[in-house]
Amino acid sequence: MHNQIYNSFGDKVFRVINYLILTVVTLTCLLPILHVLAISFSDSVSATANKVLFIPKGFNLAAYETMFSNPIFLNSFFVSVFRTVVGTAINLFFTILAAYPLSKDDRDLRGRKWISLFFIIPMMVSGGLIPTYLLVNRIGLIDSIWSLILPGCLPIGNVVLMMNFFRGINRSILEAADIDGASELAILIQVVLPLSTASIATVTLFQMVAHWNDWFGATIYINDNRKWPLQTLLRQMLQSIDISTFGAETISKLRLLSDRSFRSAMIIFATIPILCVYPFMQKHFVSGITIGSVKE
Amino acid sequence: MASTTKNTGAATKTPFSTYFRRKWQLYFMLLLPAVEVLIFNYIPLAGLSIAFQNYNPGAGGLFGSEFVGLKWFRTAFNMPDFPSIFRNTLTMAVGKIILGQIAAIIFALLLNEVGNPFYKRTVQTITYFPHFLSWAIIGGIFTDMLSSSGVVNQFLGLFNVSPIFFLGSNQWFQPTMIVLDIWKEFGWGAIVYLAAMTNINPELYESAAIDGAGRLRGILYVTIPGISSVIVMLSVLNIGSILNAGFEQILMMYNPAVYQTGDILDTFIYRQGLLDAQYSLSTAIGFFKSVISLILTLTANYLAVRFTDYRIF
Repeated sequence: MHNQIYNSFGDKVFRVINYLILTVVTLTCLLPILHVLAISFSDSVSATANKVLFIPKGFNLAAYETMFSNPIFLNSFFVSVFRTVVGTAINLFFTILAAYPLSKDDRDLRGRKWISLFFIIPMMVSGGLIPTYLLVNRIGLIDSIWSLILPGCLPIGNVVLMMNFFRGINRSILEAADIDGASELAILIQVVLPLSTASIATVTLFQMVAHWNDWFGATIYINDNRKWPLQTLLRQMLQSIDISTFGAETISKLRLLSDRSFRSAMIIFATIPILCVYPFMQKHFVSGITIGSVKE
Repeated sequence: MASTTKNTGAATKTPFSTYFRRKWQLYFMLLLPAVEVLIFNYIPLAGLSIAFQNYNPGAGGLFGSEFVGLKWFRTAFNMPDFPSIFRNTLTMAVGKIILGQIAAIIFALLLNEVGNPFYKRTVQTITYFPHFLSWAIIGGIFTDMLSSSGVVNQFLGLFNVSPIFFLGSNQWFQPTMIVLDIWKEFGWGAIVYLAAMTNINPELYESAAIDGAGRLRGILYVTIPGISSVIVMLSVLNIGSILNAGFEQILMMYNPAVYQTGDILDTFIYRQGLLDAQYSLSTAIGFFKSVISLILTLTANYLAVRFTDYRIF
């Protein structure tokens, strides 16, 4: 650590100012979330009157009780869980299947250059919103949860990440298995995957967060609000203009949802799963970024 | 990559049939991913051709629609709103890229000077977190906080500032979007710089200190030169995204009152294409954006590979 070498008066001043700035900056990240948390536990009257700052006023759990007894909310929660679990599993399966052969050199995978080009081109160009929408529409995935899982179920950035990780595995182990006559599939399952738990964990966690957080997919592919994931429901509630598209019966239920404490409770609830996987992700931040983008 | 070209000479001696019998499983593994990419990436690419057609889903779709050349491109460029939409896109994207990078670098520099590992870890844990929240959540938090009666305006009210309509006035919308984006990403963006800083030899600081350099000069003459290659690399790579003004953020937070300054190419494509079903027109705009982005990305990658340590594969 180079920090121990400075001890002048000027340095002490610097240190105080530095800690001050960093603490303020950190608080700007923390306080908005604490504010929403406090509102979610406050009674509606105090919340609506903007009397709540960081400590709940009139502490109660009403917002959460309303939330968990609301069928639209519960549905959306299950949709989110389903797409996160199933979607991530499929992402992982496809990522491994693509990354392992591409991690081989041209001797083991002849034509590797062309094959990798085939997979890289979509990273550079895409058809964009409308042609993708028309395709999903054409193959009949509109209003199906699979529209949120199948398009883009091969995250190419993650393939690159995992491919680079596979390349880092000691070649002599793979060659020994190859000489013993093990098939490539056996090598992948019995040798490579057990050595790759770190990269599998990285891809899994990042994909889980991506699935949980995605709200745009359902706004275009799913018209039926009972099939929306949580984040899409949240978004639609905040954009009150769009509530007019709900049925009359739903509107009366949603009037409750326009309540500020209720909205806050939902924001908090949507944040909790990310908070839960966050400590596990932290270990993989640096490898996740540097392996994927910068290679020494 | 470079070594593979040398090996192919020896490899071609094995006949393909012998080789394929041993290695067919590798191709078999690639089958499913290739089909996925073919369907969900290459078919939409081919679908870009509807930008040159009077696309009509009823009359045979992609193959039955009438070819109209550049009609939709001309229509798009002649729309009265097009120049302002293009300008909004560029302003917000460039603002986010430049200011966001500066914020991340300054934050990393300050954090690097912290000696207490527990404090450093806490700051990192908290400031990285917003990166993992969706714009639906962040939009939810800030539409509330930035409303005319929200906390931010209450706070400003303490200094006798009259309420500011951050999300409802054309004067404030763009800066607000840029600041919120920086808020979400500065911590996460700092990781790369912090990682580069750990590679700086500590002895450099010591010899600088012996020469009389204090902490500020240590930052100026050791830390910044130590991360300059990363700064250059990321700056170059960012060129590729100067038309990406943050679709999800804008879509989440804008409203008709701020279309004049808040509408960007992506939101315009979304509204024209999916809400008004103007498929050909919006695909033409999307095509235009993709072509520019592709040229910029390729140039950026070329420059990055040529002048920095960047390697894609």
